[in-house]
Amino acid sequence: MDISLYVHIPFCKKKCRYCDFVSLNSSDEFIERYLRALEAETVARSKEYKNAKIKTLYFGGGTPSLLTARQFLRISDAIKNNFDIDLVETTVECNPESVSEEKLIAYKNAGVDRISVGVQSLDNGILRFLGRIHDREAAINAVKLAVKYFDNVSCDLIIGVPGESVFSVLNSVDVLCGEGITHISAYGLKIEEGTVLYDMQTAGMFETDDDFAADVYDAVCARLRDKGFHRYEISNFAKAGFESAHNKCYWKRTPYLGLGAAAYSFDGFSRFNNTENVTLYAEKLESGILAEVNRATLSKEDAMTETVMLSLRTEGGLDVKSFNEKFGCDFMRDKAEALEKNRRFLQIENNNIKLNKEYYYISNSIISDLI
Amino acid sequence: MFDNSKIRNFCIIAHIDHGKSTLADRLIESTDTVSKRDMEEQLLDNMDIERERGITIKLQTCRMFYEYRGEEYMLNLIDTPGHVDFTYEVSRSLAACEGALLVVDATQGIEAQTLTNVYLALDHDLEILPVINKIDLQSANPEGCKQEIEDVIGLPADDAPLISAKEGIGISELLERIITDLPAPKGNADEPLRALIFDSFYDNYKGAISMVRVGDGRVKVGDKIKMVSTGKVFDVTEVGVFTPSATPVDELYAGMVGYISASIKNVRDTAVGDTITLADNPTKNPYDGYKKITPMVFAGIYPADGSKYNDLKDALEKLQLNDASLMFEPEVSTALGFGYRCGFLGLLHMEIIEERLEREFDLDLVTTAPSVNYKVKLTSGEEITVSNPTHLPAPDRIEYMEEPVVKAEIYTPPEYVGAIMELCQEKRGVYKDLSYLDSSRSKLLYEIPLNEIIYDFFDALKSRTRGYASLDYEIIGYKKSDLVKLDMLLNGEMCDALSTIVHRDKAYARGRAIAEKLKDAIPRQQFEIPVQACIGGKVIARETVKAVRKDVLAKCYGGDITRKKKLLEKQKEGKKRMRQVGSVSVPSEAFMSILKIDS
Repeated sequence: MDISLYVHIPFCKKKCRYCDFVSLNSSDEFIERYLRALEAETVARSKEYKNAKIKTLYFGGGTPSLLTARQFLRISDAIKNNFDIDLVETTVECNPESVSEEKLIAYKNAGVDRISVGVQSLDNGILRFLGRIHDREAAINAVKLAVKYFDNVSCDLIIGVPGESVFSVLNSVDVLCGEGITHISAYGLKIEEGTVLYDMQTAGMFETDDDFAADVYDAVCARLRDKGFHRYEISNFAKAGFESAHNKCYWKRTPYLGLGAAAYSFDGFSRFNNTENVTLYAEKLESGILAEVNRATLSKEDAMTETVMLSLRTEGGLDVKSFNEKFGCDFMRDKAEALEKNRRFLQIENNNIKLNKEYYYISNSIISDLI
Repeated sequence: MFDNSKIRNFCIIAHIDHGKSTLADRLIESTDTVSKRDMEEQLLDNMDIERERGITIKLQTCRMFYEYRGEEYMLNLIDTPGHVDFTYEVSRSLAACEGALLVVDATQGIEAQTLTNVYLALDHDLEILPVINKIDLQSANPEGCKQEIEDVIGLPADDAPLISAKEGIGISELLERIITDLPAPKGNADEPLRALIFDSFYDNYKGAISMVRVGDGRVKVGDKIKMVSTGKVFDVTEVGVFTPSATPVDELYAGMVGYISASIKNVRDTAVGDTITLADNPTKNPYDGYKKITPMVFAGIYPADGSKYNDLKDALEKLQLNDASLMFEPEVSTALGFGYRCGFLGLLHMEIIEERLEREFDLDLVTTAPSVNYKVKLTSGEEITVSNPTHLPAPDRIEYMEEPVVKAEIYTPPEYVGAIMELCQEKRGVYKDLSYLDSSRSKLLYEIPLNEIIYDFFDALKSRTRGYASLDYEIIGYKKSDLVKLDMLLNGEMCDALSTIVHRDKAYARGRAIAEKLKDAIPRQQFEIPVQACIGGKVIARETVKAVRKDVLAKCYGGDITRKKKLLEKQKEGKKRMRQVGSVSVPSEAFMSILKIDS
């Protein structure tokens, strides 16, 4: 069985204002303790996944580049020594302030072939607003370094930030493309409860504007198209051949295993994740127990919902014939009313349903009709 | 058997918050009818809503005993509802009494509503004993109050008892005055049974129960009773009195107040105002004044979630068991699906029913704009009555229309007269009279179409007079009027649930106001939605709901698919609360948003 492997490094120097994921500013001692637990989980899970072949590997966070080269290698080695690997893609997420030439060389030597840089913006005002601890210059330097050692470099951008201009976003895109990157993930800013930005918004310190976000999104899409990037998923753009194999596994519902606190897994039948409590995660593994919580076996309906929701986000769309065969249903008949209602937002041909590209930005309201 | 001369039947007339319920509680407590330990504040108002709003909806009665000069007296307190919507119920409970306590707040003086009920009581030849309450408050002005009672009502009030129901001051003196000042019932226990139903309610085990005042004769378990209005005969299974909980007794006889239970399935068979007599020895003098209750205000009530239609049906049926004045019949709306057209006594009644449906039956409702009964003369010569705008025939089939008009009495401090006249003018009112009752009180008389009153008149009156003015109204008849049906179009499709019947002069302003409200209440959708107000196909106002251009493009983080799925499922769930008008999804709240529009 081919699977993807995700490794979560839940540490950051400082939590960004929009972030509601698990990330901590921990002591060196605790990081060491966490890495020991991560190694223990790697060993334990590898026994469970004896027959699995690891096709893609992704170090995400948090900030994986916060780890020293030695620390990174420990985890990377643990995976190689315990799992059966046949990697087509290995990615490490890096943040501009913690990436270094030494680390990049170490990654390269460990077999990493893709770097994802958390740029978010090249506008210093926006970076401050988002609570990023790097500036434009640091981000550009990080990208330059990454491109120096890697052919496949991706950058994350956050778009639709209040106070941002279309001009400044396009400038970010232009500069990054000029450095020779091959992939961009452009996510709309979403204000999640429990974040600093949520509190600021609640206090009336700023307002978000969906129309503006849509304008920015349109402009970014057009500019990237001009630069030879194609959109293979709602928020993901790549030069031909540089689509992220790891990312695609989420949309295709192929199995993946998550290691580390708050990491998510899908074994083809059920979804589960590790505890978000990093200390508890370490404690559990120290006493020889997996830190898994929330294991839910998917019902047929769940699986159908996921398939529709995930495939419609992608360029390939939903293959109706295989959907019907897999679930023993007749999608076109069962959803006739919703399909009719959303006719103008969909491309339906040859047993395939795709979102019309101009309507990607309202995907949620369309997809929620079809699930 | 208690001699008639030792019985007093009385009610309490008071303005809302002038302390009626508190006084009732205090009387019950002082006569040891209920031990202090068991007293719950405002014992007689036993519905949650009543206690919260401080108003009485369903009548309650209580029998008390009090010893005066070595003799024991039976005092029957009959509580009266305190709102204009329930005037008929008030008049029936007054008919069950010989006397009334007129409770006046020493800090406020007489209010409009009090007067209405005082006049009702005088109409029923009740002996009225004025009582000045809240004398413990610093701002109390008992002398001014007495003067006002004499000036406004013409009742001698010089030796009116001064009390504080809250503090328990003057309560025993008041009890004695009830015995000395209020007349004993007349009636004769040896005559054929003649009992007035002044209220009825439904008990899950005993069926419909009539609350009665026995005028003549006697009634006991096993008697065959007959309802005079319908001729229906029932076997009495229980008779009793309220203390204030229902307590069975052997017999009810002339002069008493109590209840009769006779395994009656439907409260409609125990109509308020009807007379109960014995089947084999009927009375020759039934009580007069019985009238069938006719609803004045109508609205469509729908479940917010269309699949809850049956729950709504059950709830309405259960409420109706207790409230014979609630009428409903099934109705279908293209926008809202299956629901009910309901008839109410007035706006407050409507609000109370809605609130009880939501609270007691946990229903989420969508209510259409309240409407009245219009008389429509067709070109064919036929005349029909329409309350649902959707049922109004096309304009070319209508010869003319008539709408109900009320006589509105508004009592206000003189400084607000100008503001009220302006309001009445805006509401198509016709000025009739203005009188100054005293230096601090004036009475305005207007004739106003009912459809203006039910719209937002109460709210406007309150806000323009800082709550000082009060309103009483009664229907005086129908008047020809230039009425039109105002339709709302969403993306070109008519939405029946948003149609209203308005006066032509009001249509433009109303149309604009509704369109503006809808623009804000309808969420942006995948396409632009024109919101148009139309009269007979002619667009008179237009707003646009802009197309949504973005929803969430957020990261599907680290394979956390479940979170994304939940988000979409929540969105799908939210859509269930939406109604489909053509291609437009309209949230339930949008239908409600147009109910309160200031125009």
